[in-house]
Amino acid sequence: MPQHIVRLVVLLVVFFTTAVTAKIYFTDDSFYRYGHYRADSVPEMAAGIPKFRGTAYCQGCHTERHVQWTAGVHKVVKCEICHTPAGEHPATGKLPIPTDTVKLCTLCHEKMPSRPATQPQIVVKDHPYPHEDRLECITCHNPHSPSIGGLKPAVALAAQCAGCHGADGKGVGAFPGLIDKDAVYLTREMKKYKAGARQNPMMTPIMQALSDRDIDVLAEYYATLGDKSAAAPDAPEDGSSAVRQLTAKCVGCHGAQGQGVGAFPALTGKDAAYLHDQLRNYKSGVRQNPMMTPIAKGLTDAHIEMLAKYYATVDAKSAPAPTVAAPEANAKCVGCHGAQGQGMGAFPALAGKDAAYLSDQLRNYRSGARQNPMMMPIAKGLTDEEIGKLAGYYSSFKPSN
Amino acid sequence: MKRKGSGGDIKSGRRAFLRGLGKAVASVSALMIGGAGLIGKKGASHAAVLKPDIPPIPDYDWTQHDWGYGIDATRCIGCLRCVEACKAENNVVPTANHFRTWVERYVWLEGEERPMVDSHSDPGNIAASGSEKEYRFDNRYQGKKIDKAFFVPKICNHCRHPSCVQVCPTGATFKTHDGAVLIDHDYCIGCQYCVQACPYGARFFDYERQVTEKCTWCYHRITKGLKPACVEVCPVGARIFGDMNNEASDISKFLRENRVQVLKPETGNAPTCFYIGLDKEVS
Repeated sequence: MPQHIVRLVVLLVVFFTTAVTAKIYFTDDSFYRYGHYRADSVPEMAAGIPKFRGTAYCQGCHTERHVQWTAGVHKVVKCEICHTPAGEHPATGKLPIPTDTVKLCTLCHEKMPSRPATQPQIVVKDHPYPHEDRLECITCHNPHSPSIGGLKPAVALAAQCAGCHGADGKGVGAFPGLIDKDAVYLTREMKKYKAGARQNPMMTPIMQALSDRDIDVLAEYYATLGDKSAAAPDAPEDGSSAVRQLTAKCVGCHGAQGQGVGAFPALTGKDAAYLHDQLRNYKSGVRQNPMMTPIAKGLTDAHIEMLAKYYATVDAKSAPAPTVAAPEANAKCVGCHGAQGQGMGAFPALAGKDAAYLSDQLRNYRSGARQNPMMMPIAKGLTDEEIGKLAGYYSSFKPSN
Repeated sequence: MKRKGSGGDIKSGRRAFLRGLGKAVASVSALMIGGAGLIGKKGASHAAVLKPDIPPIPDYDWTQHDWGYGIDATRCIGCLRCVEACKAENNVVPTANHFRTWVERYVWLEGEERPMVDSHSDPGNIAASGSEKEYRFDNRYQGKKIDKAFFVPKICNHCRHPSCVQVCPTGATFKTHDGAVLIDHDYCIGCQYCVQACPYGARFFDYERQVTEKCTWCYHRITKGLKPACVEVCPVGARIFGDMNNEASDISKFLRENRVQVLKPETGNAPTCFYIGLDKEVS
């Protein structure tokens, strides 16, 4: 064979041998096992660890929350949609609780032309908020089990708690803070009071008057109030003309701000439910008063509700102001009787009361001549000097107008 | 010297040459066939597709499943939880323009013939969410007169005849026996032919890792009996996933009870992602 042909053949053989060797060497062993791809890549991809663990995983610990959630229409909105994927939680720490609820909720509930009509939607700018300074959905809606009709605003419910636990829910003296507690804990404890499993002369009757749903709303309200509530949840003054027209009937006797004048009691700072009930009682004749009865009879139920809400939420600034400085012992009073002694819920107003009356009553509590499980221990801790100062302080409150 | 001598010599030389050439070709072919075993192995692999081995995935036999995906566009509320869930579950590049699944908004303004279409990566929607990592649709059509509007979730169609797999020069992307179209990132050379080839725009390029990316139907989840993250989080049941081999599965029910369609059937890609509630303009 001619030499140049031999050379060509050798060259070809070397080339193919190299190519084949390279192919064998560089091709993964598992290539072609199932097809024209690396078979090992399939189990590699399947080995990934899921981050979304599903609601069954959450249920393991958050049992009570799970029960509440499954009972409502939001059971289609799974835990990890709002609280981010669980991953290795709880080992990796807590999952976030959404803070901007308006932003979160409107993801699904903002009125938009492309959304199916069956989806509950709101026009965000037209939707009413109880606090104008703090736009939150959870004030009225329980995110874990929301309802569309029959809302009982948490603010009105919370007024019953504010007397002892402080308007901001931070707790006052012996009354524990509520805002640092978990909603599940609060719900459980409130239900214990209601059922009698936990006994407390103050809490038991209050809880027995609440429905289970009210309890859920309250728990949710305080659990989410968190540290955002530097200020008390002041409801806005309702400046609508309708309320103005209605209050014209009250201001003549109860003062321009409803702060009370002489024998006419203060309306401000009273519980909305209390005001509502009393107006209804006047209207129906259950409570009789020659002044109030005809006025109340002229009010519709809607008017009564508006008035009650309005006076329950009037700013404390317009309440009477003291002319002397508050004594140290005052700290023991404000928890229940309000920062301005204006009275809260079942706790009577102190501001504007006669000094002699106040000091007499405190002494009676101290001696046991007047009985009250709340007042007696407090009064026993007061000296004569402190009683005198307190009486002087509260009697110095004068209507600001 | 000899060659110059006579014609017979030349003749015998040509014969020897041809004989030599034949031997050479034969031996090279033999080397190719025997040494590489390439053709033989390839033949075997075709047989393997028909009756495959089972990849070593715990408690999972891919011969038992034929996954399918359903989308009910009439239910979608455009909350985009699916898009965020997908990104979190799969560590997808955290910018608005890289996504494995997305939702399109179609809006016909009154009197307009063509719809306005946008998705979460639209600048207006990014502005509304305030971040490229969170997504929401802005309310740009509020108060406008609208003839028709709806949302359409989109995702890789995991085609029966995927054009992306056909064009891949390295075998980095492939169709599994249970129906998923996957990408082997170790073999992907980043040529992006598949991005061009996909008629649905379901693939994107990850510039940081220099590989192509796409939906895997959360292969790590479905092989553990879970649903893909987007299906798991959808609050309105607009996304349906299941095993088409199983009569009782969500997808089988979806296909039985609805008249479904696929996107761009004319491409011959034969998607396994089925829609209800689409309009003719949606493709």
